[in-house]
Amino acid sequence: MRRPLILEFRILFYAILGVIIPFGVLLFFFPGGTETYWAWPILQPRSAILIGSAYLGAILYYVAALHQNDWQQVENGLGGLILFSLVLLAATMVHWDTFKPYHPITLVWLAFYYGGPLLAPIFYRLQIERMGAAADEGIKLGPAVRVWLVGRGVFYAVLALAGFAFADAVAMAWPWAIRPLELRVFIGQIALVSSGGLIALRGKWAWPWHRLGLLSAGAIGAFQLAGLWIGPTAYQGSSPFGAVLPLMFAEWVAVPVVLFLIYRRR
Amino acid sequence: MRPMHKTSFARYGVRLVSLVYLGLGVLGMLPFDFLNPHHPEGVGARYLLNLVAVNTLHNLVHLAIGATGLWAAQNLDRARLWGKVTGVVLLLLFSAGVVQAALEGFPKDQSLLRLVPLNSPGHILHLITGGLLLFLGISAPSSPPPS
Repeated sequence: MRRPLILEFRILFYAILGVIIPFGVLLFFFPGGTETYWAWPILQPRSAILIGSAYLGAILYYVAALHQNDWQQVENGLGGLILFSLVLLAATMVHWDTFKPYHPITLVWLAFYYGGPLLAPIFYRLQIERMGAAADEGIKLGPAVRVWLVGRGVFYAVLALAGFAFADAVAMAWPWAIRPLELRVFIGQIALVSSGGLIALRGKWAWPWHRLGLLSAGAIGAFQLAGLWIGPTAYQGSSPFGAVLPLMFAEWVAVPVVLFLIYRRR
Repeated sequence: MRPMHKTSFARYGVRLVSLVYLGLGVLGMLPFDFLNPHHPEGVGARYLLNLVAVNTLHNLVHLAIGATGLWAAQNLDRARLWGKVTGVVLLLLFSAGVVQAALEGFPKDQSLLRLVPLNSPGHILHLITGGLLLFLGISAPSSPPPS
């Protein structure tokens, strides 16, 4: 039985779209102007594109969530929203000195990443109270897919933790001159992808639980690959992460494509 | 799955916000520079988790909000009232802080009434938690009378 989203979630998702659409469009399509419009000056356009891709990919998730209006498909994504917000809040704490404290984007940024971890669990509770818990309905994922999802969740979680902790060292091996702040903000995306796998540990294996999260991760991967291609400055493919990055983004795209091909027809 | 009482979200929300404030109050009291670095420029405050300007009084207010909120969350009507009162107080604090910041030309940090250091991460924290608490206080129906 389909359980629609409560009004509070719908309002929250529209508000999120109101933030991520301008964030994504500005960073991805106008990466050279961050000195003026962004909360901190991003020195390399490639870094702005790297961050903006997440917002563009997330647009697809929230539009689909509002369109589908189905709690079962949305529930898992809340873990990702909370984790992503916490990682970006942690990055903000580490690098607060770089931010312009009263820039409008800084204020929206703070509200966004304070608000996510507070509102999501409260609205989750309200959703269950009003509409009841979603049933584990739909075609079940096969054993190999389950292992892959959990495995990539653990792998990306370890990668995100290590990357956040050793951002200075990782930045040295990056294919372009990236600063630790931008790298830590990007790591929020790796944490987001990892949450899609880790949340599978809840043991809810029906396809609808995972559908929208994978769609979003795939979209982020596609924007990232496009970003690597259109990036206006040099890309050092021979650097330690030069080959890893496109491979990782390709995996983000490939997994949803394969799973949609398998499970959409059933 | 455990059954949930209708309106328990209000108590749950008040408890969550209270725990955040209690945690901030406790962390803010820790005199570790790597956790709460001292910023000698501006009003000379410590930045809680390198983000929110605080001093001892500010930390005590955070602790008081956390402790009273946890007490209020034990009962629905109390939680609703606490949400309304604390929500309004935090929103007023946000307004006062932003007005003062505007009058002073948006400095990196400021001192409200020369007592409490504030900065933009603090203002936004007050705005978000104040708005959320007011929502919790207003939107939850009151508990039904005992039958």
